[in-house]
Order: sequence, then structure tokens, then C-alpha cells
Amino acid sequence: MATPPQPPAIPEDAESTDLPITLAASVVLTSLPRDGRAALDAALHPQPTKVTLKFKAMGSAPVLNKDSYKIKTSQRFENVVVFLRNQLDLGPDVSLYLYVNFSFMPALDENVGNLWASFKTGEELIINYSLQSAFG
Amino acid sequence: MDVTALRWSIWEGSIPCKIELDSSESCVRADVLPYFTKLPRLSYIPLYISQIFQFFEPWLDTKVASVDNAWLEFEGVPLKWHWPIGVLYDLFIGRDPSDTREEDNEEYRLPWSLILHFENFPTKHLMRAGSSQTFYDAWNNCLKESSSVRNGSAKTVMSLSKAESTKLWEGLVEHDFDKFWGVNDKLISDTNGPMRNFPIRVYIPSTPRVVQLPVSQFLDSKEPQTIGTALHSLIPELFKSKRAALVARPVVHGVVVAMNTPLAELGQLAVYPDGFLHVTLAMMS
Repeated sequence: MATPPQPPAIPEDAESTDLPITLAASVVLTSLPRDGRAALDAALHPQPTKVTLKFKAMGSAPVLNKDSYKIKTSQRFENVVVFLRNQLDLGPDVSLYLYVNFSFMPALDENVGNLWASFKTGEELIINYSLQSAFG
Repeated sequence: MDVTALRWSIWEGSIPCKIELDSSESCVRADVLPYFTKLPRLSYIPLYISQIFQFFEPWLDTKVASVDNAWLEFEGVPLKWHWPIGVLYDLFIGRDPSDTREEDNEEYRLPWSLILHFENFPTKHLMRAGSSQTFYDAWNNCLKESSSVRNGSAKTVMSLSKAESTKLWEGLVEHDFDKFWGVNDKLISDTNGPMRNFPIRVYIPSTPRVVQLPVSQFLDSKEPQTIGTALHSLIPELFKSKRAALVARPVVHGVVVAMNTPLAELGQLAVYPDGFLHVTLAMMS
């Protein structure tokens, strides 16, 4: 059986957006025993996988030619917003609202992997987008 | 267990802060003494920034410096205004609260020393704060997100009456316990139907990584989920054991929480005003 075509990928945000480490926290970290340090490193850097997002237009928002895209779980939601704005070719003055679970707009620094795992439908995270604010 | 008394004690938790201007910024016209204040753990920077700004205003060039471009820094790290103040403190101090050695008390002594900036807004790390509407939107969306985790939809938040929504928001802004919990109790009540998943965010220290995955109220064995079983499933690298903290301890509101604490009970007392239980980790040295 032929495998279905893979959705195209959302390009990665190359710039690191990690916050720097405070002196107070680094004092604690440098005094960690070796197993604690190794466990922390492993927990901080999970191997990113790719998940599927599906965009659905609401109201008068323009429809995408392709509505499903792959994205790395390590990315921030901001990258999704920027990507969608580019795909829709919206000018800087046009507002765009992205909703998850028909209810909330994630913060721009939320992790895509967390959102997908918490709110996916089947294996896709559905994102509704609108040119007007919705869902109170 | 007196739920109201415990909620009240958590609500009253605050952090003494010493806030200074960055005298290298051109909008700062003179050396000025620090501003000492107390910030509630269960609140947010945007709700106090006007008060802080007013104190410094006489020493500022207000053509450049304004409430809208103000941001706070702790030891080189910009503080995210949409994260609760208590979470920011516990996370960036990184201290194990159960460690009471003398030299550590010296190292981590209060007040929490913050720097107020108006220039070089760190757009890479902070969302633009803009108006007070921006903060309301950020908080309200987070509340709807936690409600979606808890109930499968944000219906409990979206179906509040106008009067109830206003009371909840005013309770947060005025830091009024009775107003806030008068409505919030309804949002986290079991009467909204069985809990779908427990709204929890765990912050892995150093450059923080937030972990938010589905955590059910009960285990497959029908036993209640504890903070230990939840952390074991969320971050097995740091929590190999479900019962004993081996390399890291869970911290909620600046207090180490026992691993066998039932999550649902803890949630009834200790959720933040956005409906999530935020857990920071203290690494064990």
C-alpha cells in the first residue's frame, strides 16, 4: 500500500529563544551531583519529534491551499503564528487570531509539543484562525 | 482540612522586593534610591508596574520611559510578565526551600533584587506588554486553556455571567481574596463534571523548559494521582521513583511538597489565578 503523502514542514525558527540562566540558579546547578546534572540535561533536551498541525479558517479568513503541516515539537507557538501570517500574505496592519480547542489563544512562547500533546484531535492539533476576535 | 484557611494563607504569600533603575539608560536622569515593595506570589507584574513607575517617575525622561515599555530583570534574565510572580521567584532563585544551612540563607537573602528597564525591550524573550487589555487577554486565555485541560472545553469560563467575570478579574487586580475565590471556586469545582485532565505545568530549571502534558486524576489502578506519580510520568529523567525525590524536589508556592500528596487535593488549594498548578523544581545538591 502506498504511504500517503507527508504534509509539508513549517520551517524551524533557527534563533535560540532560551532564557539566560540567573546567577542564583547557576550556583545551585554547579553544585549538583553528577547523576543530578545528567538527569537535568536529559530532561532539558528531549529529542524533538514532528507533529501535524491542521489549520481551519473561520469567518472571512482566507483559506489555505494546503491545510496540514508538520512542525517540530521543540518550536514555540510564535513560529506557527509567523508562518501562518506569511502563508496568508497578511499585511502588518491585519490582525490574525489563532485558537486551540475552539476557545483559547496560546501565548506566543508556549511550546508546540505541549499544545499538541494536551489538545490534539486524533493525531492532529487543529488550529482555527480568524481575522476577528472570537470565543469571548 | 480547612480549605478556605489554606487558600487564604497561599493567597497572602508575598515576596519582598527591592527594585532599582538601570542608571546606564539614557532616560534615567539621576541616581535614585531603590523602591522597596511587596509583590503577591499569586499576581502578575503588569498589575504593579504603574505603582513602581509612579515612584520613579520624577527621575525619568517620560518621553522615553513609560509604563508600556517597562520591563523587569533579575540577574540578567527578563521576567515574563504573563507568568505568576511566585513562579518567577521560585524558578529563578532555584533554591531548595528545605535547605536551611546558614551560608545558603545568606546567599539567597531577601529582598528579591530586581532592575527596572525601559530600553532594549527583550523581544526575543518577552511578549510586548502594550496596554492593560493585553494582560487581561493573556490571563483570560490562560484561564481558558487550564479550563480546557480540566473539563475538555473552556465552557466553565465562557459561561460565567458578566458580573462573575468582572468579579473574578477585579479580585485578581485588587488582590481581593473573597472576590476572586468567590468565582474561582466555581471554575475548579467537581460539579463541572468529572475532571478530564489535571492542569499542571512543571518548570525544569536553568534555562527553563515548561512541561505540560495530559495528567489524569486517577491512575489505571484507580488510585489517585499523586504529585510523585504525575512527575514520574511527565519527567521520568528527573523522577525515576514515584515515591521518593532522588535528584529534584517539587516546589509549590515556595514550599517543598511531599511526593505522595494527592494531585486533586493539592489543586483545590494551590492553583494559581490562571487555573494551573505551577510546579517548580529544586535540584538536590
